[in-house]
Amino acid sequence: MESIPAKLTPKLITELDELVKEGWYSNRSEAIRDAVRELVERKKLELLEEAIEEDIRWGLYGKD
Amino acid sequence: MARIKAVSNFGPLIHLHEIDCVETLKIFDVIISSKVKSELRGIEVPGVKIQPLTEKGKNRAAMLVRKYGIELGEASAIALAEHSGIKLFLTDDLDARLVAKRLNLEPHGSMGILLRAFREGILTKKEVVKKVEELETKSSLFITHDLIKKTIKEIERYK
Repeated sequence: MESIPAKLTPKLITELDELVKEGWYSNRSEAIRDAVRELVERKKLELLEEAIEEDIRWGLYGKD
Repeated sequence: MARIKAVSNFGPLIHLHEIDCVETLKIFDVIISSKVKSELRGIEVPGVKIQPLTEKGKNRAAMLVRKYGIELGEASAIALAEHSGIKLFLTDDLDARLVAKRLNLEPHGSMGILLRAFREGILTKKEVVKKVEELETKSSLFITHDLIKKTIKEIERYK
């Protein structure tokens, strides 16, 4: 795995540490990996939704 | 009426094949690159023409792979569309779709093809609803149940 530098606000760090302390994640890195994974997945779903909406418009009503 | 020319990537060909619906492609004049043909691994799609890429096209495809990190099959299809002056690019790959848009192509996927085939009378309303459902249940296309429901709702609303 590769390390990447990222800056977080004190509030986010406190909240992140809370998640680790509560046992949701074993460390900060694991929590951040999960958050990034979720972000990527969400973006992918948004793109898919946009693509299907374009296909519906084109398929049913598009001019060419 | 003259059929619209389109270049297809691997995705729509295989996904429509998986739901026994490749005949919907006959509403277009579809061409594919030799690379896409090789990815089909013997699956026959009637009416689809194979057009090899020129050296210039191959270089363009290699550049698209490097620049955008897309697969060679997708890049070769985009390069073929560009070099043939064909705007309509059939793909189910979200990354390829974004790249195609950036290059002023008009990307559409299996869902769009099914709906267009319905609009042109190749499929009835009942048939297209069934095929849209099968995209989720029988094909390897990445799709969500909510989007299938949304599409069916739009088909039902269509006059």
